[in-house]
Amino acid sequence: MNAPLELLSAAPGVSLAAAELRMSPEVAEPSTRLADVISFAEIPALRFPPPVATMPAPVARVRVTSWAFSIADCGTQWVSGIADCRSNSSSNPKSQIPNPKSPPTRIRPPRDVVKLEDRLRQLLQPPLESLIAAQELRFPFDPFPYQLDGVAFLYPRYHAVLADEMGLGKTMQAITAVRLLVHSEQVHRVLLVCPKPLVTNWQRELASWAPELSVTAIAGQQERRNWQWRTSNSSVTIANYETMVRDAAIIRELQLEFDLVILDEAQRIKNRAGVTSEAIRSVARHRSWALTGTPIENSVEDLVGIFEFIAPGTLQSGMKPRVMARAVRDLVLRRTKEKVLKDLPPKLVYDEHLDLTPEQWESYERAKNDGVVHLSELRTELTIQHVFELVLRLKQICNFDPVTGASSKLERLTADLEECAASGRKAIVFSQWVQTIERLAEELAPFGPLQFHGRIPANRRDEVLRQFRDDPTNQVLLLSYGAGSVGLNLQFASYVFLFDRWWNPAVEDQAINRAHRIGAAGPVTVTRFLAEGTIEQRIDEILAEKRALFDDVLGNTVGPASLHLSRQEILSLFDLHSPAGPLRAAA
Amino acid sequence: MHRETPPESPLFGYLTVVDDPAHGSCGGYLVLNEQGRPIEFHCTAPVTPSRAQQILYGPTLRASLYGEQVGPALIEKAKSPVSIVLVNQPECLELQHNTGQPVVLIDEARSGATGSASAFSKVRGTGIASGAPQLTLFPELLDEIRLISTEGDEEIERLLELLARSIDLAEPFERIREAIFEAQQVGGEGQGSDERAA
Repeated sequence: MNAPLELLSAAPGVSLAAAELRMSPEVAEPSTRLADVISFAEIPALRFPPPVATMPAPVARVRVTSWAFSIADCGTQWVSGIADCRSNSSSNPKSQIPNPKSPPTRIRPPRDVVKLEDRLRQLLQPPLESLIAAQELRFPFDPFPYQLDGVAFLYPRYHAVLADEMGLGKTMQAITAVRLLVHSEQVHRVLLVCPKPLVTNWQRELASWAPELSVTAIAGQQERRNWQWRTSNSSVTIANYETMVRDAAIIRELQLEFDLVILDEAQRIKNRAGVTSEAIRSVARHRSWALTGTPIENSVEDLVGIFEFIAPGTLQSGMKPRVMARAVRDLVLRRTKEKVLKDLPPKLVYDEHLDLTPEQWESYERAKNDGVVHLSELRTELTIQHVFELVLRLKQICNFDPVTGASSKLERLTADLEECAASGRKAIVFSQWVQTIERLAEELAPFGPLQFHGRIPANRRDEVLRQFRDDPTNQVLLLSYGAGSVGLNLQFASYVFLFDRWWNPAVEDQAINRAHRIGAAGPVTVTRFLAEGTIEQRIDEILAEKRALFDDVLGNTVGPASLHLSRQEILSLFDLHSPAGPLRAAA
Repeated sequence: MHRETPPESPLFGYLTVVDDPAHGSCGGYLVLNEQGRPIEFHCTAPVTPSRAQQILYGPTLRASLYGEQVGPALIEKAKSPVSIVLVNQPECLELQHNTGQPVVLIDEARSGATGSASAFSKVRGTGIASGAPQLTLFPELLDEIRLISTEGDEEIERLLELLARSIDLAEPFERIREAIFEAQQVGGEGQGSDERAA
């Protein structure tokens, strides 16, 4: 059957239809061979052997491009020098992989990796979970998936800003990324710079999240520090910002070079002309990371300052926010609790509008009237400092009456704390002034208040925090915004009171997030005291507008031009007029 | 720091072909060590079958393209000999006739949901062993897989178990797809360390 069909199909001009015409119905049975019923001699076209066209089966042309990766490039070495963590690990490292139902966390090359070979090298690495499991890195508790995303963001980057909202675990993410880099021998020496009060916190976190990494904290007298800089070969060296300024010369002299420099609370270098920024930027390094919950604390210029360290030239002063956002898109990672921590207990914020006591009102009105008269008399001599002094004076009266000591805020706070103590929960109270905190400590004695502010020696602060956490008789911790708003983990406190308000909502957020962070066992209740009809209410209105503006722009990474009160906004707190019209402050 | 290299480390080849209606078929071949780390990567320029190929090969076109043309061209370029080749498309099983290595088909749809393949266990007969949800040898093709296995079932299983300790067995196919996409985006041709027409 096959042969005739092939012949027919190969012979131009002869079709199956032609053959079929020769077949009678009775012979065209399925069992009958076609060759038996068709006489080829009767077909004129086939009297001679037909021409045969041969067409070989076409084969596609395949071009192959190849890349080879050396083992060293991939960071696959087994490093026995830091193998303590492996020897203590369980036999099933996969047990450390968090949330097995989550999709694997892929490490993707940043935009500044241009060469295709380098991009593929990173892209073809196993997921982060596999890297962690392969190195058998153990964690004190399972990281959240978003935290692994943060690690995957930092790990391949030479220039990065992790700008997660406070409480999302920037410390843990940075430590884990460092750990992976050290284990894969991509990084050997890391310099971590943080505010002085946070040095012990970092030591604690490193001991918890990366116990196998050696750590040296630079501290003590100059000679001791010099010796430490000269001899330290630890994986991680910790120094505070002040030390970096003081020791800039010795670092330069020793020509110290680090594989990675991490700045915690990186807004400390926002002032590019400052000595801190200059000292930090002069450190020789290969990778530069910044951790900050408030990359834009006061204005977008803060971010420009941070990027002078991260990747100089990326941002310039005066850039439009949209251009700025585009320029840093690949280098900044910011997540908010609302976006990533669906399971975090809720934060309940109440604005407690209070009437001043009669005594406070009397003092307040007198101070305000006298102050406004004084400001008006200054006329062209008026400076922003004069206005600022009056604002501070009025705010203090809103806390306590300077004559009688009366305080509606204290009355309310005492009542709230009684309820708080009755439920066995702990509270933290923030104030702008140390004097207010000391006054509160006296008044709140029944609650065993502890104090944490600038006058508490640094070497006693850890003990204060430990006592507050462990001793049930210490139900209240009184903190200043300056000392207590960053870096502290107070998630065991269920109540936060802002006795007075800070000038910048970002600082208030930081303060609140000492308690409302990962590990919080239940809802965190935040109470912001506000003296009705006073300067506090006016400031709150202005800050609320600014906070809304910040939230609007934050999605584009870059915030509003300014978050704190501008000169004109401070002036607008009072209705200052002279016969010539509204008063304006001198420059 | 002292380095230790695991002795006798077998290598694993992952091969897949990405079909793009607009550009054609791109093959990718990734060689991994037992920890799942990349050793080599090879990818083809897009291959578009001609009309004549489509007519003549008919329904066997994909098998021919994947298993006889793209696959062998990729494997031929690899410098590191692998112990086993893992594929995720039945058509790639045609490689059995063109390579000397055992070829194992991974059912990607049933794999990877847990992110772990440490529970890999033996697959026998035409059923799927319980406790091994991450890896499935296509039951209807088991005989073919056995035929091409020069090492024997036990050796294949040993190798797969070894790799599954570090990675999900299906996960590298995603890496290859992303790498092919990246190479196409960046315009990878000419940037490779070894580029030759097959």
